[in-house]
Amino acid sequence: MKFHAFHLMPYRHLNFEEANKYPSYWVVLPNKFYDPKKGAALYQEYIGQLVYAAKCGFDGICVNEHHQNAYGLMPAPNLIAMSLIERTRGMNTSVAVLGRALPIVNNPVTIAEEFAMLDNLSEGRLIAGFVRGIGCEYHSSTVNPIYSHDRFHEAHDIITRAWTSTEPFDYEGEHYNFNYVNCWPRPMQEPHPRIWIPTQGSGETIDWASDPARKYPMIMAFSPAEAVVRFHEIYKQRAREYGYESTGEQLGWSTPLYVGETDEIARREAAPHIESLFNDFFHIPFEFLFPPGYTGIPSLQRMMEFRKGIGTSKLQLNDFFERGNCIVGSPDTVASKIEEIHAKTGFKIMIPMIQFGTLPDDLVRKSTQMFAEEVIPKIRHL
Amino acid sequence: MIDGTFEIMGAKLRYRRTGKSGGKPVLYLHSEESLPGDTAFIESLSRDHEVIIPDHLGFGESDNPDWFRAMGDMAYCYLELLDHLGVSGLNIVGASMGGWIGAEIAVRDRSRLASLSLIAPFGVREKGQTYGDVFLWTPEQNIRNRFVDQQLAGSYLQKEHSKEETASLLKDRYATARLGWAPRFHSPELQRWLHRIKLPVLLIWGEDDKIAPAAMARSWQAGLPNSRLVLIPACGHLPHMERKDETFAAVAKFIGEQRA
Repeated sequence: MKFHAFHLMPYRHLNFEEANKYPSYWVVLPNKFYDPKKGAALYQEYIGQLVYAAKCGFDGICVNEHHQNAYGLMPAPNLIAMSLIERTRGMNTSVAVLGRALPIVNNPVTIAEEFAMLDNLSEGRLIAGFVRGIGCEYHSSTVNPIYSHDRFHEAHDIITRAWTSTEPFDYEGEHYNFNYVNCWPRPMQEPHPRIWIPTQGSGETIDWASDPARKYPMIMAFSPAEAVVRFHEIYKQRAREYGYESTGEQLGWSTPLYVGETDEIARREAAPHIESLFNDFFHIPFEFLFPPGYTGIPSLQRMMEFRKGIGTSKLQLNDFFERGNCIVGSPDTVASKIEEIHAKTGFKIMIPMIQFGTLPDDLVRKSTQMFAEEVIPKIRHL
Repeated sequence: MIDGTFEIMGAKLRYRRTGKSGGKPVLYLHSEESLPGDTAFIESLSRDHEVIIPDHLGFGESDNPDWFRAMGDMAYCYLELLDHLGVSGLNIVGASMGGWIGAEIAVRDRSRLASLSLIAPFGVREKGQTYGDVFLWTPEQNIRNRFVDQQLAGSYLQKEHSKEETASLLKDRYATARLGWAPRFHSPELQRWLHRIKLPVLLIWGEDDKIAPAAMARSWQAGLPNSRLVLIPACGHLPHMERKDETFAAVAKFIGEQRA
């Protein structure tokens, strides 16, 4: 099993009482709530945490892209990735951008170019994540969500072709048209940087990622453990229908994770910060999250039904714990939880989110070190 | 009432024909939402006019073909439908999205048209004015912000929708996004060529429209060679529903003035 430390880089100094007067921390939360002095220090703190994870022995460190929100301060994740590359120079650590939101850019060739640069600058340590961006990003970018899937597929085709073609080519699509695509520099990895697909498990994405032409690892993000198992199984089943057996290297799980000396200590230390992640930072009204076209009408209706059952009251750590939205506990507990899911699906990419919500630096580092020293050795062989 | 289907490039466009045979012909272009409340307005129109009521491409019972991309597709579909029906001297009455569609038809070809009555139409933007973000609002905000009369809004909010009705509302919402997500609810090209609509145009606007502010009418009037504006006080985005009698009276008078 491989272990990659993931970070959202939330603005954890937010005035929550004031911010909660707005419908969401996304799209409409005024940026007057961002203090650049505190924010500048946070970037150093967060970059330091990921570098620390690399030094503790994680196989990779991961960032992602979100726009116009307090939940993730990386509208340009490649900038952070470059800093991580520089500060892990000489190490084998992978640097993963999980991922770039393809459909919301109007020139996907720039994504091919920037990733190719990062792959050169890291001497082949880049993992390129491709995502559609969450619904909020269509509100803030004004890209029409009706064309989200189509633009994702076209942009993906342009980028991978730009990486593998050694002659200029022209591209004629519905949404993108280019007379010349000619990616200088070419990426370092052959045939191109590793591609991962983070997802919430949409059927369309699983079909597409598991296709034998791609076989892209699917990273389940923010899903309850039970859903992770279900979607890993669907991926494996699709692969069989395509006529091949998928491997554990194609299956990943990303989840907020906290290790403490004992279960009791871990829960006590993590509780307020897990709750701030799910109750505050991730509070997103339905209309923000699912603009028209982002999902098909039948799946949207299923989600509307599903959400009917969820109350408006705030949940507590225990609820998230029981639903498997996070892993919190002693090294033994954490290791056995990962083993339990591994026994069901065989997944081999484990992506702990080492910082979440308001979790402060000292606790992030303590948990990260304990995970590296006391959990990884127990489950490395999986 | 006659139900009709017009097939174009493999897609079915559904329409109904109703009203007084021999009356002045009206093409009624519905707004972006299928709220049931415009039936009373349509009934009023039908008393003296022959009314054609289509479901727009991508909306209601009409198909949503793969080739449907933009407002031009919609306008050309309707021009083909008008050729097929062979109507002339047609008076377009369109609300909100329907008003926008009416203008997009007329800017391309006005040979079968006599007049346009546009009720709080999308399609044109007055600099500095923004359209209400119907895509970000909750369903309740969407209803409440459409009306000044909150009792009327409340009566719509009480209605429970079946699964099929919800699917139909979502279909309309998706088609609305296809046409109007960006630029939001307007076309700079239409705005540049408004002067081509050399027809009498009646603009009707609620003074308290939170979706398409009445100030948008200034840009319409600046571009149109022959327009008249009727402002309705204490009225929101759907005057044909919230202030049906006044709206109908203005439209009927205007159509009455047009040559048959």
